[in-house]
Amino acid sequence: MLEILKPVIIITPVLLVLAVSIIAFVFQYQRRMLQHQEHLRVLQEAKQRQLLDATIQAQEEERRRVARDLHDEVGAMLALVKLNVHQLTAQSENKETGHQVKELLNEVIGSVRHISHDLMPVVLEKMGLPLALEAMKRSIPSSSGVQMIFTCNDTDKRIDSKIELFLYRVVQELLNNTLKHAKASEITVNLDFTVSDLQLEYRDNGVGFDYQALLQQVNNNHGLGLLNLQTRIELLDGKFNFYSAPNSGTKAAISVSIL
Amino acid sequence: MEFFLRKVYPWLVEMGTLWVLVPFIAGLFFIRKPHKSIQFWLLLLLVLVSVLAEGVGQLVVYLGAKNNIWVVHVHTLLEFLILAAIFYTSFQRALFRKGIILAAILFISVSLIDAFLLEGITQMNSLTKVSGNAMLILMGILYFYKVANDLTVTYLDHDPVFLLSCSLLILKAGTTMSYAMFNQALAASYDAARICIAITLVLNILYYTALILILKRATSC
Repeated sequence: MLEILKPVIIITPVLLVLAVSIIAFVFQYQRRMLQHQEHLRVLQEAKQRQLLDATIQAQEEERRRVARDLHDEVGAMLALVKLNVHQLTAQSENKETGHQVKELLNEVIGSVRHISHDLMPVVLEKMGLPLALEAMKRSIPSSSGVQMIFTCNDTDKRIDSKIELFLYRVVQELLNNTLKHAKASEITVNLDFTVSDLQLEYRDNGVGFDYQALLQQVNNNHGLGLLNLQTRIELLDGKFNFYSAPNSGTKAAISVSIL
Repeated sequence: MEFFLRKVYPWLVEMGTLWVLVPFIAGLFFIRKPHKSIQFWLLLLLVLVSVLAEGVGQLVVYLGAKNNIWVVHVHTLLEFLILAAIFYTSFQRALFRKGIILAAILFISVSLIDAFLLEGITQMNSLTKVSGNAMLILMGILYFYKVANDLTVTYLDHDPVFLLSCSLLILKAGTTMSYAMFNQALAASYDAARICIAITLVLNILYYTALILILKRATSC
């Protein structure tokens, strides 16, 4: 009997082993291919982040150059013009017109300084984020009717300049939004440094808006400012939580590692 | 061997015959679940055909017929066609689909020739079984090729057709030699034929168990 069954007894296990080997190979091969695909995706994502980072850095560099040119060249020339106007007014009989021109020049010089400061705040580079935000608070015109309350647990703390600049831009954008649209009377900014990270909270008591609806319209160029903020924070590997609803004001919470 | 044939084999036959009901009951249970794919219905049809084949086989013996192997001929043909249909619905490439249609036509021809001209309807359809198994193994490997290249399936154990291909590969690779040698073994002795049947029964029990999982996966894919 065993003689008849010899082919069955020999070939069946061989075929079974072969079948199991094929299945194991397919599992292994597919897993490797998926891992490879995942690796490519991670590389592509890193490349995109690098590109975005480089674009933002270039943008900041360009802002810095324009701010420097405005401050050093245009500002200096305007000061010179003001001096000349002063001398001309002193010699002229029509002092009233001279005074008007001087006042106009003062306004232009103030505007240039303001624009230059907005483009690249010197305080941020020299004194750090807490003091730059303090300066931002002071720069809010009293005519806007908005009061900003700024608190920080360590005003002398310095962190990586890139993080400082990104966070400053975020607060700048949020403040612009509040002043333009929120009809708020009070803004609260709280900066909290811990050993490993930084928590920044921004609130206003304005009219708020439907954030979820805005997110749906991002493709139609609405809410791009907020999306840019989110992108900037993501580049720092931070967390950006934003909340707003009609008649509920606006709240943004940012958390970034500073290690 | 004597112990196996006298004590284990009858128990194995009973279990092998009844075990087909397990995936059938599971399939009936899964009918209530939402998101059933076309593969689910085809798989359930496959199980139903197997249940009917077992039932008719038993009934024919009960009615006093000496030979019920014609049921195996019919079952083999229907089983192949349903499995081919499952693979047909799984492939998108026209070449593979045409190949499956061609294989089905070829298999029907082989099956009819084997039943009426070669081995006969009262003999085990070894030629049909071996050729059908070879074609099904090929289809399973083609499906492996598809999943390995398309990378649309992240978890292979969630894909019912992949699981079916694995089960078929093991079942067909394990039973092909038993079917090929069955008629010769039967001519030599009943015990040799029983060994062949025992091999197919063990693998069938494993296959029907795997079908429960495959049916479950076919309801959620």
